Parts: sequence; C-alpha cells; structure tokens
Amino acid sequence: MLKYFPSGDSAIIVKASDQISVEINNTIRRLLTRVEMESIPGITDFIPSYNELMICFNPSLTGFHKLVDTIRSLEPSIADIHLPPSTLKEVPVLYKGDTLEEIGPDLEDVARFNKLSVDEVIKIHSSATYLVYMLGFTPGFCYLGGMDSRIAMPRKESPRLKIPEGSVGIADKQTGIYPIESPGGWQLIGQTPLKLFNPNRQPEFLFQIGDTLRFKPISENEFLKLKQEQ
Amino acid sequence: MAEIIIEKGGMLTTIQDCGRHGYQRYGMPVSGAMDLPALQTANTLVGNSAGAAALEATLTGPEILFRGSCESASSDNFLQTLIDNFHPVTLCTIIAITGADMQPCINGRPIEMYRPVKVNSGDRLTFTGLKNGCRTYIAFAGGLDVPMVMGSRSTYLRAKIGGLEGRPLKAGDVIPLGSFTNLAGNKSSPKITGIIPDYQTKRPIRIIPGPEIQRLDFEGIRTFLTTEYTVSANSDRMGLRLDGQPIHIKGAEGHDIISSGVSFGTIQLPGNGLPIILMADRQTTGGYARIANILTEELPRVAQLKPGDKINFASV
Repeated sequence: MLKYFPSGDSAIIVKASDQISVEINNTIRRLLTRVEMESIPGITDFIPSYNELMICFNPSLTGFHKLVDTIRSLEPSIADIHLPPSTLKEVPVLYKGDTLEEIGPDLEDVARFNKLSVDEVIKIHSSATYLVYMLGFTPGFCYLGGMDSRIAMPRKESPRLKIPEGSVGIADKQTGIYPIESPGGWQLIGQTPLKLFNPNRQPEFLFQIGDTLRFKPISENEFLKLKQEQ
Repeated sequence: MAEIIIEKGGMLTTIQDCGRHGYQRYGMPVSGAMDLPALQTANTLVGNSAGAAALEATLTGPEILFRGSCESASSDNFLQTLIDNFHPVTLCTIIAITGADMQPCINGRPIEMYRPVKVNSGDRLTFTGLKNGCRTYIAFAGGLDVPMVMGSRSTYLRAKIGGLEGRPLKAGDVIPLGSFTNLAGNKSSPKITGIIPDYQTKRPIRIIPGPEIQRLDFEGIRTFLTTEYTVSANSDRMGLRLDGQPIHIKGAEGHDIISSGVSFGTIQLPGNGLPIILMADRQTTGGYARIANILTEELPRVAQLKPGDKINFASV
C-alpha cells in the first residue's frame, strides 16, 4: 500500500495513493505522527502533502534503505494512531469594504460569473467548513478542501504582481488565503485581518495540516480593529 | 567591537547560513547558502562553527569597510594595552573567501581565497571581477551578528525575513560581528587545497531518477540525458531554469502532479518541457513532475552556474 521513492540522497517520499481524499490525507497525518514518535536520528524535516509524506534527512547520518526498513516496520501500527479531533478555527473576512475599496476586487466578477448575487457568494463561501489538507506555496499557505463549486471560477488570465497579505481568493474549485504579499492569479473576494504567518510570534503559523477552517464575514470596523491587534 | 560597513552591495549579496530547517510542513522554505560546502569551508577557515552566518555574493562582489576591533572574549586588559601601544593597527577580524573567484582584494592588493586573512580596522575589501563560478562566500571570525529568525539567520527574500531586514545588502548597511576567541587565522596557516572544488569541470551532473520518471518515454529520457542545456537568465535562488531541447512526456498523465514535497536539487518538468532545478529558496511543494534529483555532492557545481553556462546530466 505505501510506496517508497528516493528524492535524491537526502529525502524519501512515502506515497499513499494517487488520489486526493480525506481518508488518504488522514493516513499521511497518521504516518507523520507515527514516524515523529520514533525520533529517528538523522531526520531533519517533514513535508506532508495531500497523498505523500516527504521525510528529509542528513545523508551522513542515515540513508534511503535504512529509513525504508524503519518505516516499513512501523506500517502495521499506523492504523492504530489516533488523530486528535480536528480543531475548527474561525477566519474573520471582510468581503467588501465601505471605504476600503481595494478589498475583494474580484468579488463582483465571481458573482457575475456564477450568476449569483454578491451576498449569495459571501453566504456560500462563509457557510462551508474547509479542511487544511497541506501547506505549501508560501509560508503558511493552506491548501483547503471543501469549497462549494457554485462559486468556482478560473484564475485570472494575467496574474497580479502584488497581492496584499491576508487576501482571500478563489481559483477553480479551490479557495485560499495569501499569507504574505506575493504575485498570484486567484480571484480575490475578500481579506482577513489575521496574520497567518508571523516569524516573531508563537506559534509562527496560525494553521496546520488537519485543521478545519470556517470564514466569518466581518464589518469594516471589525476588520480595522482586528488588523490593529495583530 | 567590530563591524562591517557595506559601501557597495554588489548585484545580490545576502546573509546566509545552513538554512531554516523544521518548518517545511508549514510551507516555509529552507533558504541558506546555495553552495553549502563553500559556506562551511569559509566558516571553518576563520574558526567559526561551519553553519555560522556569512555573506553570499552573486556575480559581482560587495565593497566592505572594516571598522573597530575584535573583542576577544578571553582578552585581558594588559594584553589589550600592549596591542594598543605597540601595534600600529587594530585587528578587526579574520575573513575567508570561498566559492566563485571574484578576485578579492584588501586595500587594492589581491588576497588568496580558501585561506584565513587578517583584516584591520580601516581595511577595505573589494572584488576586481568574476573569473569563474557565480557565488562567492565571505566568512568573518565571530560570524555576522544579526537576529536569529526561526532558528536561522538566512535571508528569505520573498517573505522578507532573516539576514538584515530580510533584504539584500546595500550601501550604508552596518553589520556587527560576533566576538571570537579562536585566532584560527594566525600568520602561517597554509592555504587549504584539498577542499577547493573544481567548478570548471565539464563532467555531467549526476542525478537519481525521481518519482515521476516513468512519465518520460524512451525518447524523453534520451533527450534529458543527452542534451546540453543552457542556464536561463530567468534563474535565481529559488531555481535554475534551463533552455534547450524540450523533454517529451508520455500523453495521458501530463506534466502536472498533485502538489507534493520537493528537495534541494529536485528537477521538475513543467508543461514547456524545459527542466527547472530547485535550489535553496525553493517552495516546499510543487505541482510539476519530479523527473530526477541531483546528488547532494553535485549541488555546489550547480549553485556556481550562471546564466549562459552549460549543463548536462548523467544517471548514476
């Protein structure tokens, strides 16, 4: 069931499947928990994703075959790992500002594209629960599952050069939050005042793999107040 | 106390160490020196721990003025008085320069690379010009005393963190040096020769096949292993883009994968068929087929390639 690949001579890829599903992602999380419990010497980092776990190691301390043997021996006990219940975290979002015109510049386009009203888009986006399948792309960026396809829209044809941190966007059937200012092609429907990533805070990252998120519409006043508190 | 004053930043000079490990699950890139052994050697030569923070200069070197005196933690006042009275100059620090040869000079006189060099307060480090390679490392005894961010002093430009305010160095920057006790650079330390890498060799870069190698057909693998690629100008600390013969991929599966982890030296194949080599500032995950990975010991040669340089690959 688990497949092992070398990623060069300093990392190993453990692959659970070729599909995306909550169950497969849970297997990856169990595997991560199980391997971490062993405190195997030489391991330097982990990169869990939808269907894989990458284990980075120092090649002078361990090697591919040694790690494969160790993890294979752990395989039977992976199913017994009890994952903690997923914490539901609320993400306040200002979808459209009264005076802040730069917030959610594509909200009306997403509504028009899907033949919905702006309020309906907000309602649909903020009533679902989203699972953090993995993080990647930029520090603190969450790959979320669970968006309603009624508000799906393709990426913009030409990406923006600068998207402000906290922007909430839609790309095809995905939704996500830009943790740091970066270029990007997502349709921007709002902004959160939360700092998803702050290197000078503990914890540095607000969300982790396995969390569930829910977006909560807030007013411009609340947005400005929360932004100041960050 | 000793410090360095940046008089010219050079094309891209950043503070780097061995990188920020342990946060990749949150999407945090590792960063760190592109040519890790060069950084480690430079540090070792000046008596630092191998992973101390040093400078990485790209294509053109910075100009650096040294100021102040090294505060040896073990120095007693009597010794200091003697030095002050009888020594016409004040020892500021010890430096070592490794990696690409940009022809370093102190006060206009060439100095040797891969060797500890004492520098005095008021001395000036300049570089005449790039002779080979792409990235030069300058280590200072005591290291660069900038704040640690998430366990590392490495600059990660995209998130503007680490190093000096998360940005490249520019004229006017002043960076304090840490204190040191180990005077490794005493006069007659021999130049180290055994560890100077040969960046010039034309030997192919050795790779290990990656998890998506089976997406290439025979023709694709042949193209990959026989083409001489050129490093594109569109390359940076995140990755080297290559120009040359596109690699053909088998029909059905395509170039895209479910976003998954990548490593230092992973070779991705995007839709245009031209390989990308992921380097120090790579994103933690990627959505292109991972056709191969470069062996760790080959990474310094890759890190020292500049736009226009040639590269070819061989399977181990």
